[in-house]
Amino acid sequence: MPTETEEIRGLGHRVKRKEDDRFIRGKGTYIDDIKLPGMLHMAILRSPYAHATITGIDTSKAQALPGVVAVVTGELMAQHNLAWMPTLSGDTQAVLVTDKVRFQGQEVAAVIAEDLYTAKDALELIGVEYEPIEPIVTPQRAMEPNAPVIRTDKEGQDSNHIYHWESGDKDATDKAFAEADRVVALDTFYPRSHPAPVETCGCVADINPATGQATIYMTSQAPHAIRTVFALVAGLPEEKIRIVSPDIGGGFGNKVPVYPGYVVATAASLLIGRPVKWIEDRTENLISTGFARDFHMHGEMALKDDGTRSWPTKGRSMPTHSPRSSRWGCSTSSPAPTTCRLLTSPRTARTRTRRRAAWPIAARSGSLRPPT
Amino acid sequence: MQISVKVNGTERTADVEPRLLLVHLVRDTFGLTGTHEGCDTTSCGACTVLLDGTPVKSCTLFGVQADGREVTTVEGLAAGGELDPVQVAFKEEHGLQCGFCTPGMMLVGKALLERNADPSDDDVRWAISGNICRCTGYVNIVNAIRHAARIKAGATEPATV
Repeated sequence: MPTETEEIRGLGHRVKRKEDDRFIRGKGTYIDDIKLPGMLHMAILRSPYAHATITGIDTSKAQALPGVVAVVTGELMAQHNLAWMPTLSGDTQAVLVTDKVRFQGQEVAAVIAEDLYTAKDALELIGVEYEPIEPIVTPQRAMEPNAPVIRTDKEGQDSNHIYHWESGDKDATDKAFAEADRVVALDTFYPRSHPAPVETCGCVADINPATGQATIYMTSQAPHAIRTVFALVAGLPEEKIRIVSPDIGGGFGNKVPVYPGYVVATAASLLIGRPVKWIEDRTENLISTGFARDFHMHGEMALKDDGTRSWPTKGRSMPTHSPRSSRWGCSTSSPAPTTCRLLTSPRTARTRTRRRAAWPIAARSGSLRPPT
Repeated sequence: MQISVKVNGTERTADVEPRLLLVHLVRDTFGLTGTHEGCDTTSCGACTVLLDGTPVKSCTLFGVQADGREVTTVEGLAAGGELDPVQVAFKEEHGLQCGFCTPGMMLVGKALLERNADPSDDDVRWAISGNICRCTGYVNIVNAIRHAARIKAGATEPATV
């Protein structure tokens, strides 16, 4: 007689996964396994500088290479109003550089060719003239008054300060600190990490020139959100856009944002009238897609020597201050700010959390979220 | 260059550029997409194939280096129609999640069991030290390869998968 638990076959029981049968036979369909008739291949030229003005791009030699179908620059994208795009957090992000490079590895140009080897050969034939500007790699330097401003594209932006955010009861917290016998403080750094899924990001963009239907196969964890961004970028109704997420070789948040390569591949497919595949390599994945953390944090606690509380007994949390600075990338692509709970519990009345973030340019931010 | 490679037991010929990587020969020329490309730099092991029975990273070998030799990919593990014990074990022990590193892991496991029929945890961990998995945390992969050893030895009946 089986027990009730065995009959339910719920928690604590092993489940045979349906997808394993294809994975153990090598029959999964990951993004790079998709091959469409007439499909072209795209490779991206990236900036070796973290901060630089671009004064000229010569694509003539690349365009003359047999097998190259098109070379796309920011100038061409701007002609179609696609040089910049919105992000999921309401920021904007460059698709291909038109004015200046804002982080090392930023997308400068793209080659679309009959095969990947030709596309990568052509990248080496593109001549770009850079005028380097001082790079900023720490939030401390970013906030200094004489630091060069990264987001000069934003009207009225005269510093690298992104936002200031507070939560909690200021008066109650100040009172607790004023009455404290001692204040304990901690400075700590929560280092940057990269999700680094073993499958890098990529897509196959297929725009049907007859129907205007856009089908984009993509290593995406968020196909519906991506469809919304694509509709905004392309000015198309959502029903004209289909985002297909096949088997995904790991994501860990790295495959939520829209990356410039997706937009360029889609625009290229639209302009050329053939499907375009773009698969980033590992270096591109690490230097140009969403990372996490990188928080410089300072926390303070107000304490009484005899162990009694200096704040009303109804409160559940200790009075704390926790100003933090983050080394944000040059665009934010995921919602921020959200609550910080590492050193504080900001939803209670006697705790205050302050955060500020700055724009250094070592890399672009992706799924940047405070720890929860 | 004209090359001839025995792939999963079948003789294949191809006319390839000398610079074509083995991973692209396998995936694009021969159409065997079970071999994956993760890092292009011999670091992650997703592109592992067996070259004359030895695990190699196919992203840092040229296709022409396989000329006259034998290549086994994940598609060749069940060449006879029946799953290899290592495939059965990976499913039974939940040795995979996203499946991207799995072909490389299974091929390394198969090569290990060919020379060591009863590996310890340390033996398995050493064998897969060139292969990165970002999903599982490796524990179930180690369990799967040791389970495959038991299936191979007839010490346990594989469940039907």
